[in-house]
Formats: sequence, C-alpha cells, structure tokens
Amino acid sequence: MELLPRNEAILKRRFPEVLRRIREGSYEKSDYVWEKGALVKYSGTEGTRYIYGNRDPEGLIDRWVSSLNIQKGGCYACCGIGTGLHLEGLLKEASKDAHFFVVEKDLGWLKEVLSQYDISELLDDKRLTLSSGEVNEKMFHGLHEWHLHLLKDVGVILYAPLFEIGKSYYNKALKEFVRYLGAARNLHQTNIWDSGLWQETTFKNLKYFLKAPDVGVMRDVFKDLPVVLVAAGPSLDDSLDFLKKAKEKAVIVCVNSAYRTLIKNGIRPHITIAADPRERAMRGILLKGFI
Amino acid sequence: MSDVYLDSEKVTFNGDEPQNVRGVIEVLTRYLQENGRLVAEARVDGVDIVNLKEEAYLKSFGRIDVVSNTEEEYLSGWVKQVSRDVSVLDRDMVSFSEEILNKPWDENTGRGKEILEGFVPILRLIEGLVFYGKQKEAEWIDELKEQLKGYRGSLNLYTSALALKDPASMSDIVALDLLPALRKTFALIEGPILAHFQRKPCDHGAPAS
Repeated sequence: MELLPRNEAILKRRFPEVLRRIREGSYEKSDYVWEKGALVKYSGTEGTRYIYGNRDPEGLIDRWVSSLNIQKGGCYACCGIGTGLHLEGLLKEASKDAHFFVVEKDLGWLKEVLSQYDISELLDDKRLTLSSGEVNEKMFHGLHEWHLHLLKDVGVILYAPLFEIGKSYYNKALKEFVRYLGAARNLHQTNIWDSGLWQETTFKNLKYFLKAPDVGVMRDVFKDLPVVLVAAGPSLDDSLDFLKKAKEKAVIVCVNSAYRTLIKNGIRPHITIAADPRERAMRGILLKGFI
Repeated sequence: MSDVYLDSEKVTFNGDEPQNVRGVIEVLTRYLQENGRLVAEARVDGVDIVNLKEEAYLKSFGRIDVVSNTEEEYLSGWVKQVSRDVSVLDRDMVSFSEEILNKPWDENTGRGKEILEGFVPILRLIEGLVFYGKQKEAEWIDELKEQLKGYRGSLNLYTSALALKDPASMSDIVALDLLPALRKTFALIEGPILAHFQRKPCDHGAPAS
C-alpha cells in the first residue's frame, strides 16, 4: 500500500516525523472498514459503528462544528483523523489564525487514508499540524512552527466518535499536549520578551566578549575528571553533603540560580553558567560576599 | 359516615354504597362513561388519588371529591400539560444532538437516558389521543397512528445506539428523526387536534360501534 504522491510530498515537507513513523512503524491491520460512498465503519469490541454516521455525514459534521467554541488565535488539539471530513469542516469555520494539532492513534489507519484519499489540501493547511503513533516529545515538535506566544486560547476539540475509539491513548496525548504547549509557550515568550534585553546586553558586553577566550580553550583541561552539573531544583538541599564531598574531586558546574546556595554552604563552583540577562537573575550572585 | 362529591355535588348511590375508594371510583367511572365523561381528578380525604398508596384503595374513607370532564376537556388539559415540557425537551434534544459529538461519551449517557425518559409522557399522550381518535373516527387519526409507529422505530434505534455507545448514530437519530417527528406531532396536536377538542360537543362524531 503506497501513499498517494501528493499526500506523501506534503508529509515529507511538513510532517517528516509522521512519514518516518509510517515507514518504520509496525502496526496491525486497522479496525476501520471503508464502505461505499466514503462511509467509514469501525468494528471494535463493543460493536460496529459509523464514525460519521451512515446517513448524512456532512450534516453531522455541520452540527458538530456549529457546537464548537473556536476562538480566533486559539490552539486546539483534535483526536483522530477519520477521513479528514471533520477536520475539513473545522478548518472551514475556523479563523485564519487558529491552530489545530491533530493526533491519530492508529498509524495503520493513517497510512490507509493517505494511500486512498487525496487529503493534500488538508495537510497543506498551515493551521493544521499532524502527529501520530507513540506519545513522546517528538510528537509535539511541529508546535514550534506556530507563534505560541500569540495564542489566545488553548484547548481540546473533541470529535467523540473518534475519541471514544482510542480514549486512553488520546487522554495521554492530550495531557502531554497541554503540558508541552505550556512549557513551549513559556520558552517562546521568554525568547521574545527578552530578545531586546539580550541584544542590549550583548552590545554592552561586546568589549568583554572580544577579549574573552573562546570556550574551546577548556578542551581537555578537565580530562578524566567527573563533572557534576548543579541546578536549583528541589533536591539541591538534599545534595549539599554530597557536593561538599565531591567539590575537591569533581568539576562543579552550576547555573546562576544555584550559585548562592552553593556559596552559602562553602561550595565554590568551578564554573557558573548564566544565560538569563535580567538583572534580578543576577542578584544572588552580585550580593556582597558572594563573589 | 363517608361522603362522596362529584363536581361539588353530593352523590347518592342507588343500592349498596361502595365501602372503599376503589369501589367508589369504579362506580363513578362507569356512570360518567355512560354520560360521555370521565374522572379527571379525585381527592381522598384531601389527598390526590395519584399519590395514594395501593393499599389505601381498599380502605374506607371520610370524603372523596371527584371532578369530571368531558373526554375532550380532559385530553385538552393533558395536551397542555405535556406541551409545556415539550419545549424543554426540544431544546435539550438540539443541544444533545451536538454535545454527544463534542463531549466524551461518559458525560452524555445520563442525558441520553433523560431524553429517552422525556418521550414516555409524550408516547402516553399520543396513545391516549389515538385511542380517542379511533373511537371518534377523527380526521387526524391515520397521521397520528403513523407518527406513533415512527416513534417506536426511532426509539428502538436510539436505544440500540445508546447500548452500543455510538455517538454519531445517536446524534443522527435525535437530529434527523426524533426532533422533526416531535415538532410534527405537536404541530398536529396543537393545531387540528386541539381545534377538534374545542368544537361543540355534538360535532365530535359518533363513537365507533
């Protein structure tokens, strides 16, 4: 079963991870069955049902879409690709700046759809990101294409006939989506909000940078020595005794937020890394007696 | 000493006076039927008979008040009572046919059952109207009978979809079958059928032989 060239070309360009998973994945035959008139039937343990009904699929999707609350500039996770019919309905109604992260549980089914249906227009819609297969961080990398700091709403759009088929998988994926998006938004916001400050600080420190040796000079300086990386996590206090013992035998590298705690406890780190350009981030270091 | 009042007039029984509630209601029902009327309301010592426990029907009483209606008055009252709940059911069905598609199944099963229960009084009313319409050879009887048959078919499919946890079918059955049927039925009931009840008693047609 070969993917339709138009679908494949877009996957290659926009969703290479999905294409890799389809090519490399091993999956069983899907429980979906095609019927005449593009109706799709799902035969699971609980019985057989049509994912868009078997009477008026377009009408059913209109009903579904009209009940949704899609905000302008919102970002939503959607469960299941189906035949793409519900997603087409969704995109038709959604604003140009809305985003949809579509996750499909069944790689076998996704391959079947991509082999039988030309959904290239859907796949090429910039508002849509597609993912499938094992739930892990890689699945969400496509989210970085979006201007995450500008999102006005984050949520889940549920199409129950598909959600119910893979409920536990989708619950896991949705939970991860919300977690990942939260972290990614913070990262984007930090990058954008601090970009001016970074630029300013870079210019201010340019004279030092020019004279400062390249990091490459440290190559092999600590050869064969163990390195301990210290961050300001909740276990830092519990690790102080270990660090006191290790400080003479290992290279202690810390981030700026852990610096003060280490100094207070008589551990002077060999290297401190500070990337945060905001003044308050440096307060712990600049206090009298700490340098 | 037990007293029975029918439409606020004290009843005098010919022969043996019934000694319990059931006996009184049976005698009065027979009497009213012969006069083209029926028991619309009854209170036993101030308690509505519908709230009475079964054993109380076989007990003696102090006073029974019975209000009678013509069949048409009774059915009109019944129609109005059910119509009040139909607008709520209509609204619920519209939102249910959408929400069954956009919420997890578990959040909707309770509502699915409520919709089903919402049809119980409607079907009872239709059955009552069909019974009356047959007797009176009313012009709307065939249409109403057909609708009743349609409801039975759609509700069977609905129950199967509920058991199968099939949101798409449930949404279709509600939006494409039950909702239009309900609107059609109440257009018929609140139009030609209520108009039929409001005609003069002599225009209601003869009972079937």
